[in-house]
Amino acid sequence: MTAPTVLGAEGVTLAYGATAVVHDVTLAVGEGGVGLIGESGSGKTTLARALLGLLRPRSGSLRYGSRDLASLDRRGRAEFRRAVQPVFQDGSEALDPRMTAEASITEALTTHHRMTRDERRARVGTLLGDVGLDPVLAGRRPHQMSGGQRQRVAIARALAVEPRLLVLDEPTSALDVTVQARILDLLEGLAADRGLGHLLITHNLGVVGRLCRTSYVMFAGRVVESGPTAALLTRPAHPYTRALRDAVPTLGGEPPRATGRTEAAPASTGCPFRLRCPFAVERCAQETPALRDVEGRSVACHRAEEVLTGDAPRQ
Amino acid sequence: MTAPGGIMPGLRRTPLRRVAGIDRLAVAGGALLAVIVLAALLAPWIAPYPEDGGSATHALEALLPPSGAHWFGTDQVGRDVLSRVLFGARTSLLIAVAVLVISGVAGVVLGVVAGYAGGWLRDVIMRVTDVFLAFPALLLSLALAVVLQPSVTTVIVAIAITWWPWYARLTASVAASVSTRGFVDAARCLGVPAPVIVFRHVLPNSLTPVLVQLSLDGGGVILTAAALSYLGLGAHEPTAEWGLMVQQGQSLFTTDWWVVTLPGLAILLTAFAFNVLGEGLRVRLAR
Amino acid sequence: MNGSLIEIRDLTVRVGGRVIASLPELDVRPGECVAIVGESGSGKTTTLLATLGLVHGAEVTGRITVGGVDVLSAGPAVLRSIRGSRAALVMQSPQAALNPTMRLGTLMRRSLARHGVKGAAARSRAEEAVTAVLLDPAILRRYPHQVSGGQAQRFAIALAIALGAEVVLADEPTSALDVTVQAEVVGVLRRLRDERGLAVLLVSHDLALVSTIADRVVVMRDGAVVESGLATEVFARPGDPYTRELIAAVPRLPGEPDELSEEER
Repeated sequence: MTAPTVLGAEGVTLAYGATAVVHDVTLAVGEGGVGLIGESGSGKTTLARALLGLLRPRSGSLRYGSRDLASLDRRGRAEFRRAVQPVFQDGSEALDPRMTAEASITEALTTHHRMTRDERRARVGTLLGDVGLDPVLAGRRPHQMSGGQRQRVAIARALAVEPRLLVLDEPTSALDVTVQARILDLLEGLAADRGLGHLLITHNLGVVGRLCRTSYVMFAGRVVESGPTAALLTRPAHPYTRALRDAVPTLGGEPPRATGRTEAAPASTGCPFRLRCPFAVERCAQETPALRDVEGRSVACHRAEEVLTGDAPRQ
Repeated sequence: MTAPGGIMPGLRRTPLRRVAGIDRLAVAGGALLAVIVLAALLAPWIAPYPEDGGSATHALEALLPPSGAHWFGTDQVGRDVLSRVLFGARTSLLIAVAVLVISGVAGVVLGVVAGYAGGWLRDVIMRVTDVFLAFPALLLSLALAVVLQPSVTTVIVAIAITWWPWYARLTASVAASVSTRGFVDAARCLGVPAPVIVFRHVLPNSLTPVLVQLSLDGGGVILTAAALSYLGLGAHEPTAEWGLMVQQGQSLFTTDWWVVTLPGLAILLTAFAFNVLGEGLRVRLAR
Repeated sequence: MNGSLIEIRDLTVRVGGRVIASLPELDVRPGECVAIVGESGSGKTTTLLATLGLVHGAEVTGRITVGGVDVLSAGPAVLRSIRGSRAALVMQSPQAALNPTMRLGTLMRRSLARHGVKGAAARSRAEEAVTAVLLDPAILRRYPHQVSGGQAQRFAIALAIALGAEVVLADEPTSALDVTVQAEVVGVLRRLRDERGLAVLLVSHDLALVSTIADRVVVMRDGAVVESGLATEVFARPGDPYTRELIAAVPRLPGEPDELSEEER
């Protein structure tokens, strides 16, 4: 559990223009899987962009190891770039449409190292093999490949720099289920074989359960619950985590009822989740709950204890 | 593999016949332009009276109507109009190509930098283009042509200066949207230096609409160049240039129509060829 | 006639001689949800579009009836009337299908007017339909860009029931949505089926999602049916290896029993 932090955020607030989309988020990703869960609009992708060094925080600091990302010198920055690699949602977006798979991977290989043509060829072949692709695909452009193949090429490109950590932003949600399962198998294998850490960003709890030991749940730009993934999913302490879990369709499981409130906008005062929350009481409208420790996790809910025991009404 | 789009009703594809029709349009435009370019290149060999493309005069043969000897007739000083139209194609196409290359390169480079960089750099570049765009193109060309000595070079410089901001603007907006795409982020995360990202990823993926615009504009450049020459601010005697020929022949329109009409038709035809090609490309690449 | 709203027999869709979808038999009865499950290229969407006579540039053979009307021999006017009043199509991204310059209420009113419902009757019909999909009637004053994806999707369903559709044909209606919103949309469909007897023909690649609503399933692959039957039976005892692969691919929550592992091994 206490793997050294590769990537972290301390009290990070992120904004596009005047609107803050991530508020005061603290999180740590070590070597081992960490999940970041939330709906679209929760700020999870924005946070990921900041952690990748693509977006400067308005306040707070982003950490690479023990150092502040903003204060890295040239060498430190190059090291950070090699250590942390992204895999985005849509392989067709993540690959340059004009470049072959080989050219995309070669770009990654040659950015940090000089290599002869033969070395490059050989490495590209090895990398394609590592992600389960036939080397004949090296000459293909993105539109000549299937969605799963494109995503594998994107993963191969990320692996080319031998990173310590992958930031996976919805890496499988654009794919068919069987392809999705195979990509998850691949990522699981990579994590196990290479000790590769990852931050997995998703709205699907079924996926985090497989790949992440620790998870953070975000709602309206704030972390509302974090802790061991298994604990979060079996006994959620935040009503939002619970709603997320209940919404995951399972085979033969009891389907959740429609409430008509799922798409209510976050409240601007008090607890942002209260308009959707079956546990909401007076206090939630007045006091914004702060993160506190409850049963081995950190949760921002006044009624976390009741959510845990399931006593409060479920609507 | 049949893509599902192939059978979806009108969701993606236009009916086959229309697509083929538009492709024919692009091909027709390209072919017409190729003929014009070829005629320009081969002018010294195919012109019936090559020396008439220059300063030769034949006072006794002035203003002969079209005939077997002079298909397009002769002008006021007895030069073969067909020969001058052919030599004029060289001047007009030279101007068009030079203007498109100069303003295209300048506009695309500045635009792609502005689009990728964003922030203050974008603001500076865009404000400069706004200043240039604030002047009507013809007016600015006129002013420049007055300050500089009238010549073909002047015409090229004058038009290029008023033309590049359009490409800068177009490229900047396309490049800005390309810059937000995943593959650009992926390159940034690899630590690829910004100039390399701009020229390896952003530029090639932003080029298509600019190329279409350039080919659509070819006709406009030729018309503007002709206008400047017509106003006496561009090419001058004895250079064969279509605009100049129209200007010199205009007073003869009612009596000796061929002197003005045939160079005018050449302008029209070339501008038309550029437009058809550009439109065809636009539709083809939009698919 | 067997009381089915949709009845398909020996359907084959060919493009250039190549079969891209074939379906020997399918019935959708009132109050029933039938799901066609498969991945990209399985022919599931083609089948759905063929049912409403929306497949162009392809050769469609067999027999399809919707509300007793033979779709393959029907003229454009008849097809339009079926699509308006008896069967409604719900697409993956309904926002794209809504006119961006028109308030949702205006859109609803015009659609109702085309079916002869006007004035106060139209207003109450619209509000009733919107409430039935758990939307606030205030949404009728909004423009399409002011509503979320899930709200737009539920509005599309409301529009269908306001026009009196007896069957909704939904093509991956939730695959672009968050899980919570997805659960909401499917919950609404389930409610309408239970309370009003609305029939649903659902096309999806998500087996787990399908299992929460479908009464019967048809599993398609490469244009052909590999398995079909009662949903509970197919999920409990999948007969085809491909169905088993699809079931195995469903992500599981921790603590959830791995249903297949005991039976299979």
